[in-house]
Formats: sequence, structure tokens, C-alpha cells
Amino acid sequence: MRLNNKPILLVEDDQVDAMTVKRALKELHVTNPLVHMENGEDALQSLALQDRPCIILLDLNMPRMGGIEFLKEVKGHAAYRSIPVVVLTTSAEQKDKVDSFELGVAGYMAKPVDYRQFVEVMRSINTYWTISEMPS
Amino acid sequence: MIGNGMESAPKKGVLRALVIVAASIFSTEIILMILFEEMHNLPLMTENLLDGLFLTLLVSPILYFQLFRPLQDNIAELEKTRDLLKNQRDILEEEVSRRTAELSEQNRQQEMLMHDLKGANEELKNFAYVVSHDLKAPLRAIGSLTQWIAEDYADKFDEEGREHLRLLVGRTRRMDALIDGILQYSRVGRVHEELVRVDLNLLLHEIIDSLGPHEAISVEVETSLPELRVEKTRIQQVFQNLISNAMKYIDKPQGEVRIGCIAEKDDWKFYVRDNGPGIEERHFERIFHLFQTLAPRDRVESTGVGLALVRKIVEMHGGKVWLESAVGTGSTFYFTLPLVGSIDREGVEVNEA
Repeated sequence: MRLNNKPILLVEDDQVDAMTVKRALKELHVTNPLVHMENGEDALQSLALQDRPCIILLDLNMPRMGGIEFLKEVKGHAAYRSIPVVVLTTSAEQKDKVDSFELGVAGYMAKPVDYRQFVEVMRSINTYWTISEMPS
Repeated sequence: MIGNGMESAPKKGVLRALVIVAASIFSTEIILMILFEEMHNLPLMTENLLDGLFLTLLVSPILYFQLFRPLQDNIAELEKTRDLLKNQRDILEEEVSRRTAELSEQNRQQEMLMHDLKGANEELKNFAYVVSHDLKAPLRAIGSLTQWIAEDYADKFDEEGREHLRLLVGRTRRMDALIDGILQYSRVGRVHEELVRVDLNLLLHEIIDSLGPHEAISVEVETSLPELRVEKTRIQQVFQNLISNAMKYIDKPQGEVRIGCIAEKDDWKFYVRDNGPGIEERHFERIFHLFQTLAPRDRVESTGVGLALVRKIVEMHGGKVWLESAVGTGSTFYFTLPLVGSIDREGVEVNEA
């Protein structure tokens, strides 16, 4: 990503899905530190404690606090509102897409079953957020 | 009970009527005599009175039988009819209140049934969605882990081990396609699209283009197609599935797929005809069921969702789907869509007459 030193916040409860993201980022030589949280609540806490992430990769179906709820919190918070959030989910449900975009997500990606396809998804995300300017 | 009452009433009536008739005639005579001042001639008056009495006794039965009796009978008849009517009304009222009670009970039961059905339907929709959704996460994990093992430990496996891993990845992809199929199938009917005007000539052109050029198969639309008001994606799915099926199974060196439409009395009849291997009649029903395929999945990659989806969509639009086939020469799939809601050549929407 553009800001090399800034962490990427991954909010994902599935262990293998998290491994997939880590592996794909490694394969793409993305060197940003990765902060992995397993639900929305923990992720909100980490936002307060850790460095401001350059991007948030967000799953929707999670225990305790789901993705949509987490999004509402983030977008309602002046300090976090401008962080780009990319939804990474299994849900192809129209309602989830509409809710996500109404809450101002920067992208919505369906997790492919095929790992190689997943790498391509991550490559696109990385390329886009390397080219795009961001508020520092 | 009613019969006894009816018998005794007229008897009393006859007696009473006779007395009244006789008395009234006799008193009229006396009054008339007084009026004609015959009171002074007492013997004559007595004679007249006796004559009068005799006349009265003679006339009154005639009057009675000619005038009163028929009236009496009429009244009795009317009373009988009235009683009958009242009786009938009571029976009817009873029947009406019984039927009303029955109907309200039926209504209550129907409401309960509707409520149950709605609940069951809602549950089924959610079930299909949740199952498909939650099945995908572990499947994705299996797929990814298998691929990583295959990549990271490629040199540790012999040829057979690598082949097994390749099959494992292939099966997870197939499972993924099946789940997508269920999702797609459950979405039809759950998520409704807006009805839009669709020129099927243009739509078919797009669909055939999207299926890609195929050297050995010619796909042609033989007739002009109508413009319809439909859910566009759904109708597209119908044609796409039928045409891609036709292309997928063709076994001749020169494949032919012909599409057309015939206007019938109440509906449009569409057909997709191929010169493929054909289907035995005993499979005609089965192929429209979810996940049923005729060729082994390893030979022709197919989820068995396509025709089930076609049938669901066509029936939802008020049509039906069927096929004719001859083994060795090919199959023709037909489906109908109602004329209502279609648009005629002048661009006027056809509505119910």
C-alpha cells in the first residue's frame, strides 16, 4: 500500500480466511504490518489503541459485533470516518451490498473459493490503494 | 300437530259465519220493515218476518257456501302457507347461522394455514440462504488449504499424491458451483425484479454473443421474437440455460441450435431445438429436478441446477416447460409465456380482454 509504515486492519473471525489474506499479502510483497482482529468490538478497541490503519479489510458475518455494525461505528466517528473500508465477504446478498455502500465503503469483494482468484482480488485492492491518494 | 289445528279451526269458523250471515240478513229485514212503516200492521209484519226468516235460512247457506266458505278456505290456505313460510324461514335462519359459524371456523383455519405456510416459506427461504452461505466458509478453507499444501509441498508428493490434490481442488470448485446453484435457485421467487419491456430479439442476440463463438455449432434465431414485459434477468436465465445446455451436450460434428417463437391462442410458445444426443422419455420429468444430471459430472461439468431454474422461472411467469426428443437425433425444449403483458407490433401492451 502507499503508506508503507501504516498498518492494515483485518477484521475477520475465520482463521483460514485470515491466513488467506496474510498469505496473499505476503505473496504480493505488501510489507505493511497487519493487525488482525476477530470481531467488530475488538477492532474498535484496536482503532483507539493502535496506529491509524491505512485501510480496513472487513468481514461481515462475525460474532459479537458484525461488519455492518462496526461500519456504523467507524463512519459515525469523526477520527475514523476517512479510513477506506473494503468489505471482504461471502455474502452476495443485495441487502448487505446496499447497506455497506450506504455506509460509505470503498469496495465490496466476494471471497472466491479459489485461492488464486483471491490473490487476484488482493492484487487489485493493493494496486488501487497504491495509486490512489489518501489523506495522511 | 299442525294438521289437528288446521282441522278444528274451519269447523268453528263455519258455525260462526252461518250465525253471522243469518243474523245480519234477519236484522236487515227488520230494519227495512221499520223503514217502510209496516209496524202498524202487526199480523202482516209477523207474516213477513216469518217469510223473511224462511228466506234468510234459505239464503244464508247459499251465501255461506258461495262467498264465505271460499274466503274461509282461502284464509286457511294463506295461514297454512304463512306457517309453512315461517317454518321455512326458521329453518333457513338456522341454516344461515350454522353456515356462518362454519365459514368463520373455516376462515380461521385458513388464516392459520396461511400463517403457517408463510412461516414455513420464510423459513425455507432463509434456510436455503443460510445453508448455502454457511457452507461456503468451510469449503473455502478446504479449497485454500489444499492449494497451499499442493504449492508448498509439491516436491514431497509423488505423481499420484499430486493428482489426488488436483482432484480435491476440483471437487471443492464443484461444491462451490452447487452452492451457487442453490443460492441462485432460492433467489428466484425470493427477490423480485422490476418488470421491464424486453425486446427478445435483442436479448437473444446478447445471450448468443455471451455464450461465445463456437466453430462446430451454429446457433440461430429462426423467427421474429416478441417484446414482453418481464423480469429481464429471469428470462435471460431461461434462454441462457436452454441454449447453453443444447450446446454443451451436442455430439455431432456440425451442431445446430435453433430458437424460435410461435404465437398461440393464449400464449407465446418458444422453442430451443438441438441436434444433440436426445433424451429418453423416461428422463423427461427427472431432468427438471434440482441437481439431476444425465451425464456423469466428470464428463460434462454441470450442476444440475439449470433446468430446475428454467422450470421455476417459467412457472412463476405463468407458463409451462416441456420437451420432445428422439434419441440420436436431438431434443426440442418448449416453454410458454402468457400473451397478457406482452407488447404487440404497434408497441401497445396486450391486456386481458
